Amino acid sequence: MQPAAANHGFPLAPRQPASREHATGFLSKNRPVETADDGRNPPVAVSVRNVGKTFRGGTSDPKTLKERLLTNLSSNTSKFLALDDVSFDIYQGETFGIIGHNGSGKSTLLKIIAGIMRPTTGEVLVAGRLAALLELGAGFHPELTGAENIHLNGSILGLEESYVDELFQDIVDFAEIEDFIHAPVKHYSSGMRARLGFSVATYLDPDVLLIDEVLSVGDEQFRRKCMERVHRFRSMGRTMILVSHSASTVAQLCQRSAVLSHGRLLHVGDSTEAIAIYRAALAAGRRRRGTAATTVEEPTEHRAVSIIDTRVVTGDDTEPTLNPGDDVTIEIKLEAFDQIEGRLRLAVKSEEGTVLINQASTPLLGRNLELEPGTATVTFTLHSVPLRDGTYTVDAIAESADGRTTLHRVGSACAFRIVSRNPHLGLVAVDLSCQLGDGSDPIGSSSGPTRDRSRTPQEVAQ
Amino acid sequence: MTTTASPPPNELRPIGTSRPAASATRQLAEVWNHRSLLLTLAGRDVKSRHRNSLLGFTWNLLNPLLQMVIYTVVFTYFMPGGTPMFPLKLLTGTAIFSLFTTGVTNGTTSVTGNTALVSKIWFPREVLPVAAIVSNLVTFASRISILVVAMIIYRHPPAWSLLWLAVCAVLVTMVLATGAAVLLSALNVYFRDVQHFLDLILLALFWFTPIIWSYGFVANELINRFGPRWERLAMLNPLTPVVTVFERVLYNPAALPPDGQHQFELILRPTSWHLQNLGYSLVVGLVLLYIGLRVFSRLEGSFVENL
Repeated sequence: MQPAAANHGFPLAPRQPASREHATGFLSKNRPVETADDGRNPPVAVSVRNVGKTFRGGTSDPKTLKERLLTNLSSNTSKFLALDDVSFDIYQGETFGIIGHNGSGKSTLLKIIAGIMRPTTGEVLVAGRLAALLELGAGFHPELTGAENIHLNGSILGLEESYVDELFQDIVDFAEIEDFIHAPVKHYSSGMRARLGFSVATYLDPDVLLIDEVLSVGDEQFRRKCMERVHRFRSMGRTMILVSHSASTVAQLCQRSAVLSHGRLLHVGDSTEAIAIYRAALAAGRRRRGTAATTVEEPTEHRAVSIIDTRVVTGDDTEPTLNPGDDVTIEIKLEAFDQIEGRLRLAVKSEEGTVLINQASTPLLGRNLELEPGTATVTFTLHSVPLRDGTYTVDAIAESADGRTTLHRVGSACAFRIVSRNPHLGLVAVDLSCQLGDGSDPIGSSSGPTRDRSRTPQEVAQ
Repeated sequence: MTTTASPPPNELRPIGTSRPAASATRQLAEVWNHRSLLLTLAGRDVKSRHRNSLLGFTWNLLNPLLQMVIYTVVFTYFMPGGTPMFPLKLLTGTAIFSLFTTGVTNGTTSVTGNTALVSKIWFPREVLPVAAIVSNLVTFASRISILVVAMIIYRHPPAWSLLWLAVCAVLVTMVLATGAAVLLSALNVYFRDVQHFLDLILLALFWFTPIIWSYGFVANELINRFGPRWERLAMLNPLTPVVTVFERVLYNPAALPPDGQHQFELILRPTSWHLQNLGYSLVVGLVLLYIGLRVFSRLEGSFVENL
């Protein structure tokens, strides 16, 4: 996979221009707007060029002269490459995602784009004003009141005082902190701080907005409001950069995404493609570590029943790959040490940890499991699973007959992956069709409604 | 208030600290563009300094008054130096000297003390030490007001025609303080020793500046021992010129009774002599400011990692 920016054919600026003036247009030396030479792409809003970042490692940060000298003498300063030659361009008006696992260099890249950290190599160019919401908050001064901080952020963005005054009430209303606006921010709850941060950053009308995992905080209602605001912001033609490890958030909002893994850029392009690559990288990482998913076993002292093995019958890979609409068969082997009456529960979870299916065996069988000492096999079949692309993990739980006592629980006992031929976004994969007109119109329905080919279980079965 | 600091949105330019600033003038231009931010931060400095203290702003007045009482008791009763209106001389010297010291002290911790802002949002970081200097003008003003009250009590007028010279001295002191604050605030991020070491340096500086003693004592000693050319040595400390100018204008030895004037003969020289001295301090201040800004621009890129 190639870093994308190199392919667009931009007139790249010299890597180390002689002076800041040269690029800023200070002293009225204006640089022309950079556009793609094929004329298809809109102007570039953010250009990340060969960015690399090396951190000097160490057990603890030396802060005093004495510590500095001692650490330098013992010369145990190991270097850590957090970002390695990352290049891509983000176009104006686009919502761009940056995804990657923990420690992939996402946050470092974000701090460099936000301008608060200097890259070791390369540079980042931004068109216009940029506001960032890093780690759940804007730049707030804890001693200042909410109102003072709104003005502080306005002046940092270089806005007119009167303009900030105009927006003031909207910001306060959106953040829902009317009563506390004249209290110092240090007394705010983390939710209030996040709300005010989001409100300030989106209302102060930056040209580029950078959001780091912010959409994952706050209560349900505020999150919905944020989403609406983000959509509004997007429809106003503003550029947005969204950083997340939640693939679904990125899938919903971003047209294009960059995938980072261990400081390297794996891919830049269409979000669905990027997410597929991100998931493949995660799965590859898991395989390297030897487990399909980290199996969590709850130790129980005196087990009457033990879950020995859980596997997905279709396919013999550690992570079987299926199509949406396939049947998924999960086989669970039990060993009973006594004669016991109990039941087995199955839970299927998405990557984000949402429980999609949680079902005990008793209602399905119509009776409890009556086990004799020895092994037994229970098979669950999920008929034509309506799940979208992703990896799903299965928990197996052996319970007492009344369901009150857990006898043995194996979390993430096995996993399966769903890959569709025609990837699309959203939470569920349903059988979709589309036609022009109200259905009686002959145009476009000559061969029946156009069906989403990958979603038809009958077709998949053939 | 302020005009927008940003260029038209279609123009790509390096963001924040992503590249070291090209020149010291560019850095100062960025600070000027963010002057409304600077004033907000300076205002907050003034307010938060006295938050949670019972006497609040009164400390600005009590502090120099107590200092004056202590030194006056020591140097008129324990160790009489024969300086007429000693409290007035002391208030004059400490007013301008403290403009430098409190500015540098607060400036040094201005970056390390604003982690919340520095690690979350970009603005020219040079604004922080400069805001610390600006906020100290409030403290300075309160010291000057005490001095004015003391002059009224002593019925001792300043040299009215030379007041502009005192204003020059204030400006030169601010250049010196800004230079030192910018340099030390950046170094303090890497070596927290700086803030501890600074107290020692400032104490030494206090005793090497003619505040308690008179410039004439040292200068005459140098002239008598090594010849008149060596008087320059007494002016080596860049704070000596500003303090002597302040003394000339506000303590105004010319208005003292003739028998008290002899130790101030040297500073009663023509204005050109004072201007020459101030020129030297200004050059030192500008060099310090230049070095400070360049060091700052080199180091600011990794502030966040070291905070």
